[in-house]
Amino acid sequence: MLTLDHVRVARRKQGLVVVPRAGLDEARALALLDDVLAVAREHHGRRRAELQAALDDVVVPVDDERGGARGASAATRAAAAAKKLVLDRCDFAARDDLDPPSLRAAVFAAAAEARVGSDHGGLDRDVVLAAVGEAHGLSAAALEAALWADLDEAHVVDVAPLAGVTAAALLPVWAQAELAAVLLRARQIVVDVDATPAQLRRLLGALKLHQLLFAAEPLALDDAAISGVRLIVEGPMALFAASTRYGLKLALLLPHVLACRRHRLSAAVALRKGRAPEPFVIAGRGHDDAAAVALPPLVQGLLDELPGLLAPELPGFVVRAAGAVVAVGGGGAFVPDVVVEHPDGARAYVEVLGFWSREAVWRRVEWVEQGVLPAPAVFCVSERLRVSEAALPDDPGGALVVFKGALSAKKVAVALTARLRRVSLG
Amino acid sequence: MTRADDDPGEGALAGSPASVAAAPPSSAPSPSVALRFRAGTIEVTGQPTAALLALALPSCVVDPRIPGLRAPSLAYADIVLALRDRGVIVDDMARRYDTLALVPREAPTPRDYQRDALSAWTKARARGVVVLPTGAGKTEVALLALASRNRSALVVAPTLDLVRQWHEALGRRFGVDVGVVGGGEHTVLPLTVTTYDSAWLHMEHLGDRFGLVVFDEVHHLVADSYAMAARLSLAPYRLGLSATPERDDGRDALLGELVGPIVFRKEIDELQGTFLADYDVVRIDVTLDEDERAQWAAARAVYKEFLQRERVSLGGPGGWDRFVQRAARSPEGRQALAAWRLQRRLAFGAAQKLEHVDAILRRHRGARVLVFSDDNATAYAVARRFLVPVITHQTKVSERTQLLRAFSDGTLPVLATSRVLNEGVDVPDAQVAVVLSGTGSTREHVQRLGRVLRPRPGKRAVLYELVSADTGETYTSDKRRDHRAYR
Repeated sequence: MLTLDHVRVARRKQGLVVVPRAGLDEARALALLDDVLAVAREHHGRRRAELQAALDDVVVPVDDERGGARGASAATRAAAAAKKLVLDRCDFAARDDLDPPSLRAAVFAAAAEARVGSDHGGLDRDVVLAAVGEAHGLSAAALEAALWADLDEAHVVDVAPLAGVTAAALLPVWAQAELAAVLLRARQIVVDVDATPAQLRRLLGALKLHQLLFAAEPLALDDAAISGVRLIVEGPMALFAASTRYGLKLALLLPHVLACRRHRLSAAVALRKGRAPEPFVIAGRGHDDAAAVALPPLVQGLLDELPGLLAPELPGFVVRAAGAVVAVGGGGAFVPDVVVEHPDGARAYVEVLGFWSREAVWRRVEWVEQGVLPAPAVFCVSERLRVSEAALPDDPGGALVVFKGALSAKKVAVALTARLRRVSLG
Repeated sequence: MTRADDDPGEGALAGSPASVAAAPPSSAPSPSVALRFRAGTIEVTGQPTAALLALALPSCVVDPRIPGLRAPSLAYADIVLALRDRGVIVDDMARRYDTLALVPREAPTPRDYQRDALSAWTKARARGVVVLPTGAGKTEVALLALASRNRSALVVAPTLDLVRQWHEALGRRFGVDVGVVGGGEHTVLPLTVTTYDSAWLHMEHLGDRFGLVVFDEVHHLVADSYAMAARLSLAPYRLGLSATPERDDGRDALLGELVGPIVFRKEIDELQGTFLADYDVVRIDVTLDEDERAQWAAARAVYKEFLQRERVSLGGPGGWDRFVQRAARSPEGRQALAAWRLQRRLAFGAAQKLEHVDAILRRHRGARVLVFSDDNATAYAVARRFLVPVITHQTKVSERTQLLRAFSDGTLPVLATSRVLNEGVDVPDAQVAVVLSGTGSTREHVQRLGRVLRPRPGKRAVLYELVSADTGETYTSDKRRDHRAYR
């Protein structure tokens, strides 16, 4: 991950913008990455300190056209970024044929004894090293080299993860890492996305994983077939302190945002401590992976079985895979997996929570109790989350179905029927 | 005396998500206001927002993302007390900490000043900072506090070595399993020890699990990130411990908000010779050799020339920050910064200092000697030269434990370290400290002296400070000795 030290940020009328590759043009960036990759590969099997020293020698010539301090500064940042990108992809490990802590223990003990036994309190280190080395089958020089072989700088470089990595392949990685680096200093982000259910679920899952609070509202988009949502995301403490504590979490959302079909991320970024936040916008298009992502087996099972189970009780209702985020009154949102709906507008949702947190379940129980869901919902919850169906015993707004391993479509159908009948009758 | 049942968390309706599952809300008495812990904050719900606002609860603000108010967890106790004052029934689903039945095993009779410290803290609603010199038994005060409160408690310490020491002290005193969060472990138990770093990372998940938080070396707490850890915890009881709470940056003023006021204080010279060992401080001026002096002078010329050209004065407020900012803008600036680092490295690591270390080790053969440096490279240089153990941030916990044990029992009587043991070693027999290099921080210097002040019959401790003459280190040394412990 890059930090702001690796990135050049410029101020424009519309706010902050990242200067790609700190201002290095693409050709020189490719050449730089090629150099850094080559140096790293040359150091496979050697000490990390040697690789670091060799990388220190890799420099970017100052752009003659731009020249001056700014050119030098850009080159410095770009070089540091390129090296970080490559180093992040290398592995480092201590040699496993040595046991430096044991060797050290033996040497220190021998040295302490020698010092106590000496007339003058001094130490002949060569004698100590030779004696301990001999006991371990090593020369004094080899022992001395092995003593500290587990320190970071002595770790052995492994470039296996760089196999197949090219300079060209690192350019888009660099671009994304620069955006994430700016988000490290973000206090709040507003995300407008148009996304497939799978993309949205991943995004909401990431929000929950990182315990970021968000308010969600549906977004009117020009294409009626596409569902959109606006998420206002920040950490819980953001109300009380202008903190960048959540910057890393906000930055970790970036890949999930960029993956969405269409996205626009607006952030309030404080580049330095004590500085007022400035706007920073990332907008673009991801990809449509709706077709590529297979539905989870539990969801597919419901889609296969529910139509037959519901038809006798709920004529006219159609069962289909859900395709939109559902905003919840008072903030919050969820992405149902299945929608059961009637042409007259009556509908209910099914969401499979599987291995989510208990917190997510209680949030849903509260939504039902508070009556803020736009339609009844059945939440299918793994028994691993240790919740009871009794938390929502007979609420018209929703139900919990707890399952162990296999999800019973019959139980879901019963819960749906009870709620949709009331809606239809109502 | 404040009694344990003065806990603001007591008396509210006990509730938790689990209890909701077992008994649906409809079967419980109608709560007027519900409190929930969420990611280090307290959500206040259960009534219309306007009605909640009318209660004028401390630190609460409207959160448009929920149907209610939100406050930092730090305000939990004040919120509960305010609700009680207003006669409101509280459905407290925020608190998840337990009332314990800690039974102290064999314990030394507390010294008078330790009892006084506990009493002062208790009178202050069990929130506040106790200031005692290193070696005066701050840990004992905390153990007394834990036994008096009997609540799930978290001890936050700055280093893994201190975490290890607290883990042992708690287990030994109360005979219970003690959890550890940090250093690759994550076991949360009613008594748990963690580092400041881990507290910052995990408090938003753990902040509801402890009714008492002990902040050891509490002067660390006021850093932006660590302060957040204190705000994310709802613990009504908070105890800060430090020998040196004051900070050069003045941020110690924050401690009142995060922990409480200083409720008790004793200084080194008040306890020296009775509860602390007598000590001498010896400063030794060393000279750079010819080659070092030439390099130092050349580096200084580069650095001074840049300062003059850029008209940056390091003496004024913000001077250093201005230098770093200007240095980042040009190759000449970066050269100046590199030159500053080189001259500092030369002064800190003067070859003659190691000759003095050799002489000190000979003079104090067999005594427990701690050698402190400002940087890891010097600490490793000492270890290589004298074949003595070294502890830095790179030393794994298992090896640290072994080395500290060997240092404690005298098997390995010399230990080199950089800054990680400034506050992290508790060895009564440690008698000699050698400061090869350090910052200008009085706090750091006092802490290093404190490492050798634990009392033992007949002990006289000594701190050697090695300073490169005619370099900036002389000024640094004068600055850090500006404390009554050195007068």
